[in-house]
Amino acid sequence: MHSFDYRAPKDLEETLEEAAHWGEKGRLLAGGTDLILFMERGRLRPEVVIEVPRTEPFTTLEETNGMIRIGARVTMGQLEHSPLIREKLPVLSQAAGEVGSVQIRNLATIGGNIVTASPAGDTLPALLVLDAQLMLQKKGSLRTVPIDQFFLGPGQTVREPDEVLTEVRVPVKGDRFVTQFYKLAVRSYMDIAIVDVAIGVYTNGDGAVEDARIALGSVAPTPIRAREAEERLKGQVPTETLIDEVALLAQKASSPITDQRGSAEYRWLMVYRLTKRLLTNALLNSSASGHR
Amino acid sequence: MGSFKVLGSRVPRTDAYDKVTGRALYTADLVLPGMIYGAFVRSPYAHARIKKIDVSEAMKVPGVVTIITQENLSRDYALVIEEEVHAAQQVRGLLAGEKVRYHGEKVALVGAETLEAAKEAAALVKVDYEPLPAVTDPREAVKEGAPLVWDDSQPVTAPDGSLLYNVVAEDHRSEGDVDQGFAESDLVYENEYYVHRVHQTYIEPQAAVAAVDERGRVTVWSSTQGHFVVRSNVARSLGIPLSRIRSIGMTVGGGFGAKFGGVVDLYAVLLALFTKRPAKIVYTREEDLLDARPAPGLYIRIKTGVKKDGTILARSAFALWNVGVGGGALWATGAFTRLYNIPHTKWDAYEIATNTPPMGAYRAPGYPQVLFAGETQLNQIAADLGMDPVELRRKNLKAEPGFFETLEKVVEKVGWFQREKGEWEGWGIALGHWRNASSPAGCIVSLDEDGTAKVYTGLMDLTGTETAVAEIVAETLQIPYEDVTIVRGDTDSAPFSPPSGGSTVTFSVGNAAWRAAQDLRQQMIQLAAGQLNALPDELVVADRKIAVKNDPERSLSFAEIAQTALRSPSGPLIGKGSFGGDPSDTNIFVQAVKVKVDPETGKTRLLRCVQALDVGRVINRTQCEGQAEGGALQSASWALMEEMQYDEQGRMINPNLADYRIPTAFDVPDMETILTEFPSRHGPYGAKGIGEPPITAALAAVASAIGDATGYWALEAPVTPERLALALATRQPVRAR
Ligand SMILES: Cc1cc2nc3c(=O)[nH]c(=O)nc-3n(C[C@H](O)[C@H](O)[C@H](O)COP(=O)(O)OP(=O)(O)OC[C@H]3O[C@@H](n4cnc5c(N)ncnc54)[C@H](O)[C@@H]3O)c2cc1C
Repeated sequence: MHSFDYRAPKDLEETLEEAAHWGEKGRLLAGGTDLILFMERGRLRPEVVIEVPRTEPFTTLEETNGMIRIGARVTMGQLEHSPLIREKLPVLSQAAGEVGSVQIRNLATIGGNIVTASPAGDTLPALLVLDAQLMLQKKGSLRTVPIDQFFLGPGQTVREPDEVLTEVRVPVKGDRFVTQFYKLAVRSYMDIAIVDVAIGVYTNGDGAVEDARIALGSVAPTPIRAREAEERLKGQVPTETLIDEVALLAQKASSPITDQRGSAEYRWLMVYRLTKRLLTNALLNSSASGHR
Repeated sequence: MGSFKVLGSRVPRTDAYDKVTGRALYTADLVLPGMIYGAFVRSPYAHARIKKIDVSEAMKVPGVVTIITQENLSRDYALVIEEEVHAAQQVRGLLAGEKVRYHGEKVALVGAETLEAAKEAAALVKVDYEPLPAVTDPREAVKEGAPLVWDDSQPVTAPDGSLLYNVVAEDHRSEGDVDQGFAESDLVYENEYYVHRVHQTYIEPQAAVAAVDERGRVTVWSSTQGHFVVRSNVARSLGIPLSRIRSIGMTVGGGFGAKFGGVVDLYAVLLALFTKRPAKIVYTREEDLLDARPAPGLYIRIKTGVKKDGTILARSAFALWNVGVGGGALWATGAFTRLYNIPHTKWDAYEIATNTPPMGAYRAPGYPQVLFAGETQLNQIAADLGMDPVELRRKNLKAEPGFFETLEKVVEKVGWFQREKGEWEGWGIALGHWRNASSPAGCIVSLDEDGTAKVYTGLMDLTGTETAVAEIVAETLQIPYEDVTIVRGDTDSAPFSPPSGGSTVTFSVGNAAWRAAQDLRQQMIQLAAGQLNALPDELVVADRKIAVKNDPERSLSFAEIAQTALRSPSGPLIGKGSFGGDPSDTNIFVQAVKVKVDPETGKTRLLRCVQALDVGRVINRTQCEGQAEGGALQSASWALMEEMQYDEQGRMINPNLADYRIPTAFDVPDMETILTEFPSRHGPYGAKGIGEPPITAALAAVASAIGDATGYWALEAPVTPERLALALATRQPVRAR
């Protein structure tokens, strides 16, 4: 690995200071489970590595005013086990629980997963389904970016070099919002997704779908929402035929490639089948629960 | 044989504490004063002509000491690989010359003060390539017009009259008359199978350190299965007399056949020779996946003729081994006929060169591939005949010691004939086998003044063989296991020992150790007889004592015997044992698995894994079970996920452990293992070699279980979720995408 400088700011203010000072030459470090590998392979060569401090707001994990606040340094392990997340955002807890291994989840953070912007980042489809808001802060300014507007391409985002992701905010949608997540990979753990599918649906008292989210990972240059498919569901009372149609629309939204993890053909087929499976579980089977 | 004091126990391995406390010294742990680090320049192409190599920029990197290319090597520096498991010899250049023939092939070697400098310089070596078309699949390589891997290769004529290209070796065997056998059969089945190349995926990547002293004597430390083989390879490849090389085997983090030398050791020595400084080379995982000694792939067409009652009359095979730029696979082809009474058999096998790394041994070399085809086909035949696969085996299995009994143990444990399965669940059974190698070995056992024993051996312990040897010595001398110390020697200090491979060590070094312990025991009895005024026949050896049979008061402790010897003209007691290699016996391995398939995603989950192994004699129960479980799992993993993938240009696209997958603990069910004991005629206490057999059958058993669950029989391994899902979707047999 190339040589680099290391900074350990104490708090948010110092972090913003360092980020502003180093700009493109600097790179933030959280768990390091992506960054260090990228540096080892020469994909990133920052002159300065700035460690995100283990202080608020980076470590925040709480609910305030119907909003769940998740600090950028909250780990996958915390998301997996936190009673708050398990109860209020089970889809995120499940997705985080399927990242890497126990050791990786002890280090890997939600902020890192988001900023790395891999099409296969497992928490990203879950965050898309949850309408997560990203708080991007730099010296003297703060902006909120909805997660569906954050990703531009593999490893590419709207974040500017001196912007620090401080926290992720997720509105609590209540009990009527049913979610499902499926990570398709060869191994049970410690594997990169061939396809990720996350769905979220609200149904009203009459059983009609009020609103829907369908998000896909590993089948496009970024994690995506299948908006046409979502629209098709809205206002409808779900039936097998409808779900089939929606799953086909989700398939249409994807543009998978063939790589070492799977062919475009397989991914294509899986988007359809898994979307259908998750929607069926959520809307037609009474005991809707996440499963793999 | 009666009952044993030490054999059959679960004593901890000799190296257990060192390993769990992190004290064990691996090659990468070595740091010598003045040591430099080596890094390779590797070919980004699978096949290309090298037009020019320019090292000028690279030499400018601060800290670079030397850059070696084939051009500055004398012609005598050939790479000679001698794998004793295969008895195969190969000669290649140490570094690529006019051409590179696989992705990752070594083109130049940089030595520098730091690893970082070496890597930086390696990246700056400019190599001018003219890319050539490449071929990685043996089915393509044999066709007319395929790129020729070796320029001078000539096509050979196959039995059907067609021409086969890129053939580097062939073998043809037959017994009886298969044509007649097929003619007499009621049904003849012919199927094609394909197994991708897989990597041994040992946890410790290849590593070596070398140093040359003022007098030109070479010392090489390496992660190897056999330091004596490393010594002979270094001698032959670099033209150094054997006596001027000291080869030291460090603690090994697995090898499974890929660590017989030649991958890094020669290069560390080369750097040391060129720079007169100690040199170290440690592979990254990527380098290991690109350029080590992975298993050969196999295309095989098997034809089997049966009577309606399941009696097998004839079997033949046509095999194309994907050996990359190496060789040494042919001999395993006959594995599909060994266990059964088949009047007529025949096989035609070819080694096909492809633009992939040289093949090496991988645990029971070639057997998992061949038996995947052979055993899966038997299960297909059983299904077609409406016969239970176990019945089909019972009908045809040879009545050799342990064969039926070991099969029946699994039948019983599983409750095979009452077996149940839910939706999309399936059962598979397959038989595997191996006959351990039997090799020359020497051993010395001495008695210390406190009555404990020291064992001098040159064995390289990968699987717990040191423990097995210690137990054999303890049993023979009738002392506790804790009273035996193993001294692991190097090629300067130890008696000759075979490399750890082919399940040879417990059998061969075990025999030498048994003989040495017997020799020592005789000397002790002689000495005690004199001291106790008794005849040797009247003495019994037990509990660290030699006593007169009918007068136990008259006795000498081992400590007293050792001390008496020191005061007597005979001097210290030293037993010697040499073993030249007596015939060994085949042991059977029986594998049953249950799987559940998700028909939508194609994911297969192992639900049960039941295996029985005839070990001849249990030396250490935990270790025997460990071998059975580890082998079964490797083989199952081969069936489900392992595959070296190459793109159209022949480049490996998954050279890392995220994409070249092996199972994690979460992918493995509880393993149920049964050990049977049908003693080998010549094994120490009847022990048979047990390292290889456990990997031979699960590949077929898992593939067959998937067939049982889905009705689709895997013709290609691994049966990845993708292959299975697409096969089920298109109602085609499971094949490549
Ligand atoms: C063995 C292994 C297995 C893995 N398995 C999976 C898996 O199954 N699923 C999956 O999705 N991922 C997986 N990953 C990838 C990785 O663990 C995740 O993406 C993880 O969430 C990254 O978080 P981190 O804290 O380690 O990020 P880091 O490596 O510290 O940082 C990643 C990137 O984010 C930037 N960054 C970090 N924090 C901030 C911040 N607050 N503001 C701005 N930029 C920031 C860094 O500069 C860097 O560019 C795996 C990685 C490994 C090594």
